[in-house]
Amino acid sequence: MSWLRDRHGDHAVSLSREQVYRLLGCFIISVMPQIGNIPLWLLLATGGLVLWRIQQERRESEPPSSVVKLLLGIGFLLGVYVDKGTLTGRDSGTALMVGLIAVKFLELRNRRDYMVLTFVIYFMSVTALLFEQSILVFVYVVICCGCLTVNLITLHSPGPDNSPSRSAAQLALRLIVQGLPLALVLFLFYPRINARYGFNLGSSTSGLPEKIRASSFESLTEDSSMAFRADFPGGEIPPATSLYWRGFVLWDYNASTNEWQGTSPAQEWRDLTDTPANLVGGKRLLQRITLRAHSQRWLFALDYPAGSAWNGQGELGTGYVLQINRELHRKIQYLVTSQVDSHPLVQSPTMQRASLRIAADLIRPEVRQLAKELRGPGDSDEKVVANMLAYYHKNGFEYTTKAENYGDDPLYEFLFVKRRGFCEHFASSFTVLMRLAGVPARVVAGYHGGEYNPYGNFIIVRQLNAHAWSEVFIKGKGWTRVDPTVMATVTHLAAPITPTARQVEPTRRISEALERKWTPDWLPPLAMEGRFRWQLVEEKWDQWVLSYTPELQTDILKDWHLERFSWEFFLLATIFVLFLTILLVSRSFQRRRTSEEALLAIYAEFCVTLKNSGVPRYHWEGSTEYAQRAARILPAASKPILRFAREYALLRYGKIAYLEPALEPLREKVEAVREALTQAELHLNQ
Amino acid sequence: MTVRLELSRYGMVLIPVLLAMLLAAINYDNNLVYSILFLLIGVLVVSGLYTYRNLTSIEVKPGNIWPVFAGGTLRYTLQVINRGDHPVHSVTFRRQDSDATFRAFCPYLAPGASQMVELIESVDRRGRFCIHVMEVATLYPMGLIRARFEVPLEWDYVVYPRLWGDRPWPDIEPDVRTQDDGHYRGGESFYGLRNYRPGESQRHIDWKAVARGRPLMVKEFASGGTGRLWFDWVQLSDLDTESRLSQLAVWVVQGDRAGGPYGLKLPMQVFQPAIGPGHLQQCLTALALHHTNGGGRL
Repeated sequence: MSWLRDRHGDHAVSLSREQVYRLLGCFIISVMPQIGNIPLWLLLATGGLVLWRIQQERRESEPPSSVVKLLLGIGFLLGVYVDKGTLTGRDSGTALMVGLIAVKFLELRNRRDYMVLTFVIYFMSVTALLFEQSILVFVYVVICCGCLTVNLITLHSPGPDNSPSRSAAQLALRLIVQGLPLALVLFLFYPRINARYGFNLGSSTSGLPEKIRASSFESLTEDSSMAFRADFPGGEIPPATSLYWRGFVLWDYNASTNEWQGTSPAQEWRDLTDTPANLVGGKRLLQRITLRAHSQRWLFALDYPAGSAWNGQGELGTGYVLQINRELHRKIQYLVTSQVDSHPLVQSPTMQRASLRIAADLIRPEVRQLAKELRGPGDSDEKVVANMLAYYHKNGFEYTTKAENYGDDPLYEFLFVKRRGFCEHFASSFTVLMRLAGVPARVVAGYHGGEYNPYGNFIIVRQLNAHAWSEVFIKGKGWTRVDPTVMATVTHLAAPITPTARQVEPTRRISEALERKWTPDWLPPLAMEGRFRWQLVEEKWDQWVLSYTPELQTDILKDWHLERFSWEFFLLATIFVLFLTILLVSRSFQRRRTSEEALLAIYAEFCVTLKNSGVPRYHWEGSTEYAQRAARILPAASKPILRFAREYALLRYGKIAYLEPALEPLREKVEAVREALTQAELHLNQ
Repeated sequence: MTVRLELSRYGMVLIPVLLAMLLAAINYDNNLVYSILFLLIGVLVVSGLYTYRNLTSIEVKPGNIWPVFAGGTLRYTLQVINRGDHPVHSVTFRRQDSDATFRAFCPYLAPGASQMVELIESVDRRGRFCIHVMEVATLYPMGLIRARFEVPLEWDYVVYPRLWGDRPWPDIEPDVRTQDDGHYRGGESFYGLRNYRPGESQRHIDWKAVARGRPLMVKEFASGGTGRLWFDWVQLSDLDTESRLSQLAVWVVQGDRAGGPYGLKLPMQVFQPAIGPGHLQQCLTALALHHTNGGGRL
C-alpha cells in the first residue's frame, strides 16, 4: 500500500531541484534566438539571476525578500526605458519580459508559479518570430515549445515510482501530431484581418538610410543579409547590370549638412503626373518580390514600377516610388509590374522647380565654378551630363568600399581632393552639380544587381547591393537614369552578380587570396551549391507560409465555391475537425482486441443467432451441450451448428498457439449457421 | 459516472497568454505566430482527450475507516482500481461535501492494478457524519485541463466525544446476591498496580513493595468479582453536557482498558455492564450521538 499525502492541494507542492533546473534550461534555450535583440547589460543581468537561482537551489537557501525582487524589477524597467526610450513595443517588451522572467525565477517555489512561468516562457519564445521569420527560427521556436510541453507533462504525469515518466517526450510528440489537423484548419481558415490598427511596432535597422550623406551606406557594404528576393513569373531574367531596384527618391539637398533628404515630397507640389501612362518605351516585366521587414514604407521594384503592388497597399507615388501606409515589420511577398528601360516623359512645373532647387550660396565657390564650366555656350542638358561624367573620368575618380575620412565639406573634398568614394558620393556630387548647372536632377536610392540562383531561377538582393544613383530630366526624352558610379569609373558594378559584386579593395584581395590558398578547390563550389539549394527552400517557405495572406485565403475558399469568407464557415470547419480529432484520437486510445476476445465475440454472435431462432442459451450450458440441444430443436441447421461448436471448442479449449488465422473461418461458420436458419425459415413460410 | 472536463486554474492562466499571442499575431500580421498559437490550441484540445481517458477506467470503492474522537484525526481509505488498459497518472481524491482541503494523491496506477489511498481529516465535533461524495480529479497530462467525476459513497461514520476529564472512577456498587464487598478487582490473576486511595480496603496493598520503601500501591486483579461498575450521567451533575460526555467517554475507554465489565447510564439509555470491543463501541456511539437528534449530518 502506498500513498502520498498532500495537505494543501497540489498548487502548494514544493518543486524538486530537477524541475527547477529543467525550467531554467527551457528558459535559456528560449532566450537564445533573442540574444541579438536584447541589450547586453540585460542579458548579463539575466545570466546573473539565473546563476543566483541555481546557487539558491544548491544551497537550499531562502528566496530573496520581496523588496529585493521589487528593486530588481524596477531596475529592469528603468534600464529598458533608458536604453530603448520606451517600455512598449516589440523590442522593449521582449527585453523587459526576459528580465522579469529571470526575477520571477528567484521566487519560484510552488507549482502555481511554475505553471505561470512556463506559459510566459511559451510567449517569450514565440516573440523571436516577431524579429525573424526564417525557417530555422521557426523550427527552433517549435522545439522550444516542445521542450516546455515535455516539461509540463513531466510535471503532471509521474511514472510508477513517482519519478518523471520516460514517455513524456513521446506523449508530447503525440499531442503535437494529433493537434496538427486542428492547428492546420485554424491556420487556413482563421480570418486574417488586415491589421491597420497597428500598436506600437518595434524598429529594426535593416532598411536603407533615408538620408544620404557621405558615408550613409558604409554599414551596408559588409552586410550580406538578404534584403529581398525577386523572381520573374514571366520567365525572362534581365541582365544583372540593368537591375536597378528602385526604392525611393530624394528631392532636397541640405547644403549645410551635405545631406540628401526629403523622401516624401511636400504636399503643395505633389502631383499626379507620375502615372503608368506617362512611361514611354521599354517593356513590361512582372516580378514577384519577397521583401524582408525593413521598418520602412518602401517597396522595391525595377525601374520604373508601373502600377500599385501588394494588392494595392503599395501605392505608386511621386517619383515612381512604391509606398505603403505603415512601416513594414514582417516579410511580405508581392507582385509588381515594371516598365523597364522606359522614361517618364512628363514633368509638372512644380516638380521641375523642386528638382532644380539648391541653396547655391551655401556651396563652396570652387564647386560652383566647376558647375559653371560644365555648360559651355549653347550646350544642351545632355552635353552637361556628358561633361560631368568626363570630369570624373579625366580626374581618375575611384570607387571604393573602404571608409574615407571626410571632413566638414565632403562634397568639396570628394570633388577636388580625395576623389575616392562610395556610390553616394558620386550620386550626391553629380546631382548637386546638375542642379547648379541648371539640369533638373534627383537622387534615387535602392539596390543594384543581385545574386542569381540557378536552381530556383530567382535573384537574391542583399544589403550590400544597396546603391544610389541619379536621374536627370532631359527635355524630349524625359527622366533618364545616370549612374555616375558606373559611368565614371572603369572597373565597376558590371562585374558578375555575386555577393562580392562590389569592387574589392586591394587589402581584401590579399586576404581573400590567402583564404583561397587554405581552402580546398572543391569547397567553394560546394558551399555555393548548398547556399543556392537552401535559398530555394527558403523561397518555398516564403511563398507558402509567410505570404499566406487574406487574398490567398479567399482564393482557397473560392476553389471550394465559397464566395466570401465568413465566421460561420470558420466555426463550422473548426468544429468539424475538432470532432474528427476527437474521434481519431479516441480510436487510438482503444486497445486492439486480443484474439481470445475476438473468439469470445464470435461465440457471442453464434449465441445471438440461435437466440433469434428461439433457442437461447441457458447460462449453465457449455458450448457443446448448447449446440447439441440447438441442433435437435433446429434440425434444418443442425450440421452447421455442430460444425461450429466442434471448431469453437477446439479453438477455445485446445492447444492452439496462434488463434488469429483460425478466426476468419470460424466467423464464416457462424455465417453458415445464419444462412441455414434463414433458408429454413423461408422454406417454412413458403 | 460522468466525467466532466473543465479548464484548470492553470489553464485559465494560459488563456490570457494565448490571447496575447493572438494579439501579437494580428498586430504584426505574422503567420508564424499564428501557427504556433494554433499548434498550442491543438495540443490543448488533444491533451483534454488524454485527461478524459485518464479517468474513465478508474473505479473507487470505500475501504476502511478508523474510529476517531473529536479533536483527533479521521482516517479512512479508498480502494482505487484501474479497470482499463492504460496506466493512470496523477489522480487526486477529495471529499466533496466538507470544507476539508485535504486531498489524497495517487501518482500512478498500472493497468489492472489496485491501490489503497488514505485520506485524513481533522474532526472537532462529536456526532454521526456521512461522506456523501468523493471527487476524483486529474490534471494529467499537462495540467491545463482538469477532468473530474464524483463517486457517491454515502459512507456513515461516528465521531466519539472528545476525550477530556480527570475525575476518578465512581464507586463500585456491591453485588448483593454474591455478597461481594464491591471490590470489583478481586480476581485471581494479577493485572497491575495503582496508587492506593485512602479508605480503601488494605487487602490488596503490595506490602512487599512498601517494605522496599515504595509508596502504597494496590495490586489489581483482572476478571475478578461480580461487582457492578456503573458510569452514570447523574454522577456528573455539576458539569455541562459536553464535559459530562467527555468524562464518560474517558471512563468508558479506561473501563475497556481495565478489562472488567462496566455499564453506562444515560438519561434515555442504559447499557448493562459488559466487556469487549462491541460494548465499547456501543457505549461510545451512544455518547457520540447523545442529543444530536439521532445523528446530525453536516
